[in-house]
This record gives sequence, C-alpha cells and structure tokens, in this order.
Amino acid sequence: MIAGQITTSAALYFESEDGQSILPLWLERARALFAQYDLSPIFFTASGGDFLLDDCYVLAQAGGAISKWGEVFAARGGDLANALHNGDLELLGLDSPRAGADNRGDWRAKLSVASTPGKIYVGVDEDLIPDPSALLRRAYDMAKGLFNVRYGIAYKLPLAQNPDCYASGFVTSSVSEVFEMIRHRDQWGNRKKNPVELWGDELNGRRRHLAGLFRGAYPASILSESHIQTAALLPCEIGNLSELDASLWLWELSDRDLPAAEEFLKARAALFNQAGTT
Amino acid sequence: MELGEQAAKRLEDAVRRWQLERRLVATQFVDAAQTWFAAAWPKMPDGDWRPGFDALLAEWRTQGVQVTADSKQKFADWLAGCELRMRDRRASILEWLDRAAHVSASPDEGGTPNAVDPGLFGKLPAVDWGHIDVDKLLHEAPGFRFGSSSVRSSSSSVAEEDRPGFKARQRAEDLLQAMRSQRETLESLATEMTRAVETVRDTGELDVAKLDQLAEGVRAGFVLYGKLLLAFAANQRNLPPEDRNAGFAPGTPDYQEQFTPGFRARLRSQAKASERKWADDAEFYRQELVWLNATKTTLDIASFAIVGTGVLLKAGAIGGAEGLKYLAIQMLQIAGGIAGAAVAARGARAAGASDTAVEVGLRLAFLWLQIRALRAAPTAATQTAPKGAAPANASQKTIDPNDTVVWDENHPLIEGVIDSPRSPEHKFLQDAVADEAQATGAYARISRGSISLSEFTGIAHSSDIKPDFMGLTTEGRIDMIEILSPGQDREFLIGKLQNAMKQLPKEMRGGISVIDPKDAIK
Repeated sequence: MIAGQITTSAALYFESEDGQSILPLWLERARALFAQYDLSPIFFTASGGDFLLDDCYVLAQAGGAISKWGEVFAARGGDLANALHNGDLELLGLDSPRAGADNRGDWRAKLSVASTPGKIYVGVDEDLIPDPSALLRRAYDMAKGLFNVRYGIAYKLPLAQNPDCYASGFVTSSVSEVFEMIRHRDQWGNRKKNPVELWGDELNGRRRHLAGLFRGAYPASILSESHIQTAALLPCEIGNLSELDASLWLWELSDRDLPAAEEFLKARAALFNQAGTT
Repeated sequence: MELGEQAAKRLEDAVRRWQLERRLVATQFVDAAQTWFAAAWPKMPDGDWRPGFDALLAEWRTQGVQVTADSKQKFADWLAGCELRMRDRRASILEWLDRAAHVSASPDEGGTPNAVDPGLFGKLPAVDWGHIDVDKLLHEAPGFRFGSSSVRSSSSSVAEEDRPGFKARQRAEDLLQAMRSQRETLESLATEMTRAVETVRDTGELDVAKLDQLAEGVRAGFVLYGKLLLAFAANQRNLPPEDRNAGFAPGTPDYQEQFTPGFRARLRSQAKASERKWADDAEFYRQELVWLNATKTTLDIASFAIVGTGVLLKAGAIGGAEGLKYLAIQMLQIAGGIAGAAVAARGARAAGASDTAVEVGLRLAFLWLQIRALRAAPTAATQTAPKGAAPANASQKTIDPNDTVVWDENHPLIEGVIDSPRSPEHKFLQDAVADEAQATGAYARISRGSISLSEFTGIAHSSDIKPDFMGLTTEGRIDMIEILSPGQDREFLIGKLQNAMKQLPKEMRGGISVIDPKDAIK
C-alpha cells in the first residue's frame, strides 16, 4: 500500500426490504466506472447463490483465473451475471487492485452494494476523482432507479484507514484488542464505543439516518426532505444546498464550512449520536 | 499424515510444552531463589544496612517467619533508605515477604524439608512440587555422588557429628554439590542448543528429533535444579544460626555466581539492548529478566536459548525453512544481547532468506513476543477464574485425544482444525486467539476454523459460516473472530460475522472482531 494514499469516498444509504436483490444493471454501471479509468483486473465478492463471502473471484469468463497472494481466484463472471439475473444476490463488492498490491485491501477503486442494511459504497484513488461532491453525484447516478436512496455522504480518508469500513461502521482490531475482548468479557461488553462503531450500530439498528438524522457534516451530503426539516436547512446559511432530484438535495461544504456545519447540526439535535436522540 | 505435517505437529507440541513448563519452573525459581537470597543476605559485606536487617531478621525468627504487616512496613522503609546494590529488587523482596507468610518449614531435621503452601504449588500440575524427596533428588542429579562432601568424609570427627545440625549440614553440602553438577549439565545443554540453532542458521536444516531431545533435556534440567534450589533453601532453616549459609557466603563460588555486580551489570546491559531492539516488547523482557535475575548466572544463556528455540520451533512449524533461518539469527542475537534488526535482516539475507521470508519472520517474531508479553501480564479473567475454581456451567469434557493440550473442566479443548490454505500469520493468530481464550477460563467451548456455526450452536443457520474462532462463554454468549486473508475483503468479513450474529437469539450474541495480520500490532 502506498503510504498516505488518499481515497475519495461516497456512501449512499437506501431503504431496502428483506431479501431485496441486486439487479444486473448495477453491475453494468459499476463496470463502466472501472472501464472509464482502465482499471483491471476486477475482483469480486458476493453473497447469495453459491458464492461465499469468504472468497474472492475474478470478474472474467471461465479460464481467466488469477493466481495471487498464494491463492488462486476463480473467474466467475458468467456465474455472477446468472446469479444477478436470477435475483440471487443480496451483496456484491467489486474492486481493482493497485499494481504490486500485497492484499486485497490495497485497491485503486472499490464499489459495493448490500441490500442489508441498505448501503452503497464507492471509493477511488484521489487522483482519479478528487472531488467528493463529484463522486457522490456519480454514485447517485449509479444507484438511481435501482435503490431508494435517502441519505449519502462523501469524504476523503487515507486508504490505510479503511474508508469502506468507515462507511459501514466497521472497525478492525489489533491482537491486543482481541485479547482484551477475550480476557475481559464483561468490561468489553459495556465499553464505550467509538463513533465508527456507533454508526455501525445505527445502520444495523434504528436506521434513523433514513428518517432525517445526520452522521455529521461532510464535504458533500445527499439529504432527503426529512433531513432538510430536521436541521431546518432552508434557507441554507452554510455551504451550498441544491436540488439533486425530485425529493433529494445535495449539500456541499468547503473545508472551512465543516466545523460550523457540525455545530449547526448539533444545535438542532440533528446528529444521530447526540444525547437525547439515541 | 504427511511427514511434514507430523514434524510441524511435533514442533507445535514441543513449543506448547515449553511455554507451559517453563512458566511453571520460573515461578518455582523466583520463589526458591528469593528465599535463598533472604537467608544469605546477613552475610553480605555492605555496611550500614546490616544492623537494621539483623534486627528485623531476629524479629522474624521470633515470629517463626510469620511476616506481619507492621514488620513488612518496617522492612520496606528500611529498604527504601539504604544504599544497596539490591535495592532495585525491592518489589520482588516484598513479594517474597507476602509469600513467606504462607510457607512453613518442617522443624524435623531429617524429615522432608519443604512443606509448602498447596495454594501456590498446587497450580503446577506438571511437577510434584508439593513433596520433594531429597535423597531421590540427589540420586537424580547428574554427576553427584553421595559421600563426596567434606562433612561426610571419613575425616569428620566425633565432635563434628555431635554438633547440632550435623545432618542438615551434610544435606546442605550434598545439595550444593548437586546444584553445581546440575549447572554444568545445563551449561553443556545450552551450548548444544546454541550449536543446534547455529546449524539451522548456517544450513537451514532442522533436526526436529535433536531439538526435541535438547528441549526435553533443558526442561528436565530446570525442573531438577529448581527442586534442588528449593530443598537447599528449606534446609537452611534446619541449621543452627551460626552454620546457615556456610556454603553460600560471600567469596564462595555459588555466592559469586548469583550476586556479583558483574552478573547484575550484564543483566542490565541485556535489558537495555533488548528494550532498544524490541521496544514494543519491553514488558516481555522485563519479565524474562526478573526471572533470570532470580536464577543462576549460568542459566541466562540457556534461558535465552529456550526463548529463542521456542520461537524457532514455532516459526519452523508455521513459517517454513525460510522463516526459520531468519528467526534463528534473530534469536541468536537476543542470546548475545547485541546488534539490531538491521543487522539481523542483513544476516538473514546473507543466509539466503528472501525479502518475503525476512518480513514474515520478523512479523511472526513480533507477534509471538507480543503474545507472550500479553500472556505474561496478569488479567482480571485469570485472577477471577483460576484453574482450581470451576464455574458452575463449565464444560465437563474429560478426554484429551491429543494428550498434549493442557485443559480441564474450565479450560476446554479446542475443537476443529485450521482450514488450509492459510498464511503463516493467519495460522499463528488463529492458534494464538484460541489458546488465549482457552487460558482465560471464561469459555466453555472453543472452536477453530473447521466447525460451522450451525454445528457449534446446534441452531440451523442459513448461509452457514465457519469463523476462524468461535467461543461459547460460560455465560452462554458466542464470540466470533475472523482473521483477514490477503484475498478477503475486510468490510464483507465483518458483515458476514454481523449477519451470522443476527441469526442467534439475542441473549447468545457476543462480540465480533476481525484481525488484519498487517495491523495486528498497533
């Protein structure tokens, strides 16, 4: 992994029903993004059909298997297309590794969609798409007509900080932390969670971000009418608020605006993790 | 089973034995040597502290070594104020005082000299520390022959035999001689072990049988030496005051070996070198040096060899010959207490190790040492759930098919095997997590890799999974841990655990975690 590699990320959150499957059109749109930047090969992981979340496959026709990192990744592009066509998949992730990557986490671009809990992630190297707002629009265009998007954020993070996990509210652990968990089961269960973990709980729990609450202030956000009402954003006094679609808005903030916007949201009790709102 | 797998298994078993046995022996050494040290202290030649110590010692004698809080405080105050080369041992001496309150000696001069607190030694299942037959012990000591000591020689006079404590003096002489012989044996074993390690370094060839044999020899040697030391310390109490420490006074070889400034300076130097080199593992080395400090000069090489060879064997089992070469060099450096990682890397490359092997070897060494350090630290879990105290709902398994894993009603057997292929780091971490969970006593069942969630819980799961670790806590919750492989997506791996957890009844949901071997040491 290149030290300090910055990634531009967009995360969309949508309303989903249990068992909602991913449509083949999503794959087409995703492939177009990889093709636009000549990114190859493309790996994928899927859940559903006979795919296992543990495993990595190559988005190519049979015969295009790749041997990498001591493993052989089977080419199952045809199987993937069939599974999508049959409505078998509830989760799909695609990524393209950096040249010389020594593990799958060192990607140049990654796209994922999960119908539970209703989340799309698009991350690319900063040099490919430097503007978070542009990437958020692009992600929305990919989701349009396929998913009922209600909220979205765009941000920049070093790849080493796992921007994809940030979108999902996941954290990885060091061996010391795992030992702490094992050794002190009671204390661990009652520990104070960090903001990323709290976001993960919200995504998998009350999901109030779909009903008007914010994760925070970000360089670009997609907001629903309920967000506008919760934060009383109209008239907009910080940043630039524009209509994105019939019922969605795009709120863009400069770096200078971010602290004030965060305070603004706090003052209106619009953050999901604020006291009194959890 | 293929030959390679057999070798790997034997190596793992050997390491496991070592880790357990060595910890036990270390505990014994600290205890015995501190007792010994306290007995020898009045004869040390430094000045102004002696009257105070003599007065305290007289007080303890009066009390039958029943240390009270008041006498301990006096001792601590006195210790803090005096110019002693032993001052930095304050903590361990005070710890000894705590233990001394629980140790009683048999007043019978010819009887078993070391009746000890079963609470302390009952935790050492591999060795019968509770009763030591000194005569049998002396027979076991290599090189020792009865009747060779001066007090037992034909020249001993009737007057000598009539003096009080004659038998105890004989025994002290015998024990000292046996300890000297045993130290020589350990020294030669250490030399052999170093040679074996050098062979691995130079040739890359691993003679498993020989290393096993050496390991067993060193282990048995430590155990025997510990028993001798303990018996000697206990025997001191059976001597008249004027004869105590006769064979262990300033100027005698045994005393010099244990307490010379040069020895302590060398330990300090090793500590500094170790801490510089292994900054993240300073605590581990502190623990090691505490142990060394309480044992004999001649054992420090052997102990480092044990640490080093333990790492080597582990690495050999999971990292292959390339990793082994690198670690051999690393551990030889530790044994010498010299040089840094850069030199080690150069040495490894010179020995033919590839860059990948160097990287993997280094990572494994750090992981191993970090885990050792973590395990050395006392934890709330181990304090509140000692092996002797069974939780009400613990597993009741009584059969250990491998006959190698230490477990009992509170420390369940680890079920399942590690799936393959897995990277060396992956396997290592998977083992370490399972071992750690087993050691805490907080889990009733533990599985590793090849057991599915449905199988583990008895509850059918759609989209079943086989996490790298599953543990059923004694409270009935299930923890799941995954270790990231190079081809896996961490985001999905966590999602997989979350989805699996959601399928469990709420009261059974425990913690989930994903370890990335690359981020394992933060």
